[in-house]
Amino acid sequence: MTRIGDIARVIRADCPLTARSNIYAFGSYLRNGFGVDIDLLLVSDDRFESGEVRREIMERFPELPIEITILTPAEELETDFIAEQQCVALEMLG
Amino acid sequence: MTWATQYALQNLGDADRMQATQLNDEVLQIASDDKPTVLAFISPAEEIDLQGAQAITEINPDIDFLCGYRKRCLWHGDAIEFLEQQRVGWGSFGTLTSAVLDGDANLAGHKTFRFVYRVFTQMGGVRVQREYDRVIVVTRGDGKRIRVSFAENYEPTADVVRELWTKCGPSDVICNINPNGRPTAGAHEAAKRLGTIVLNVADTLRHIRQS
Repeated sequence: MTRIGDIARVIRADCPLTARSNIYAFGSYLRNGFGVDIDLLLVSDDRFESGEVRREIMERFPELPIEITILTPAEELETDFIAEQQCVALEMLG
Repeated sequence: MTWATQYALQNLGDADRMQATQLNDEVLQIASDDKPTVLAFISPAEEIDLQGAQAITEINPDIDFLCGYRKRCLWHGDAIEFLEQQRVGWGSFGTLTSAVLDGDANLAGHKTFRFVYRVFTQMGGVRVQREYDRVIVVTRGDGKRIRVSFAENYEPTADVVRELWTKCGPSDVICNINPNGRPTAGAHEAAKRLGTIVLNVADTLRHIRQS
């Protein structure tokens, strides 16, 4: 299975739209190095930009079961998603 | 072997009480203790429509279950109807593993939407048409039609509301089917902007009866 660190490296190198976004990994794939799907969190206040970022990542990894959750900063505060899901920023991986 | 088959095989290999064997690039044979052996087609598709389901079952007439490996895989209503007529189970990878252990793979339907779909079909005095796995149209006795999309998330967000709208079309109600669900304020706001509303299951049923 593809390592989460490798995914993080590719996103940083080949997905320029992600440069202005806060992206995190979470879930079993992050914790165990394998899992049914690969969960990423994107926190962005711009709905159009966040949609483009999601498309860019999905197109870069057409053969991986990546699932992207998108939250606005307000929704992240409301749900405390990063803490609850023990998300790790992509910059910390790889 | 497709990437989806590979992921399914590896995850089944890690599961208790199940042994999976690859039969071809897309079909796995899954055995479990005292339950019937299951032949499952593992699809990497983003969507499964009628033509896709027909093609898969034509090439693989012995399969018991069609698995849309991606969590977000969207199933068209006519594909679901066709598979159920053919006695081929359908749904997510999680649905497949549950169905293997339950011994009812041929009859299983996507477990995320199974319960709520049954709730709506058991409403009295209405007709329910399934457009997608997560979208139904309820027609009341007076002819009024209410289109309902299901959001399964624990915390449906603005993005979830917009994505449902984009992928499946406009709905009168976005129904949060998670019994403990807490839609975000952003989800309610996004729904309002689109001219719809986010409700839980009980309130959706009430809305259908009273609107």
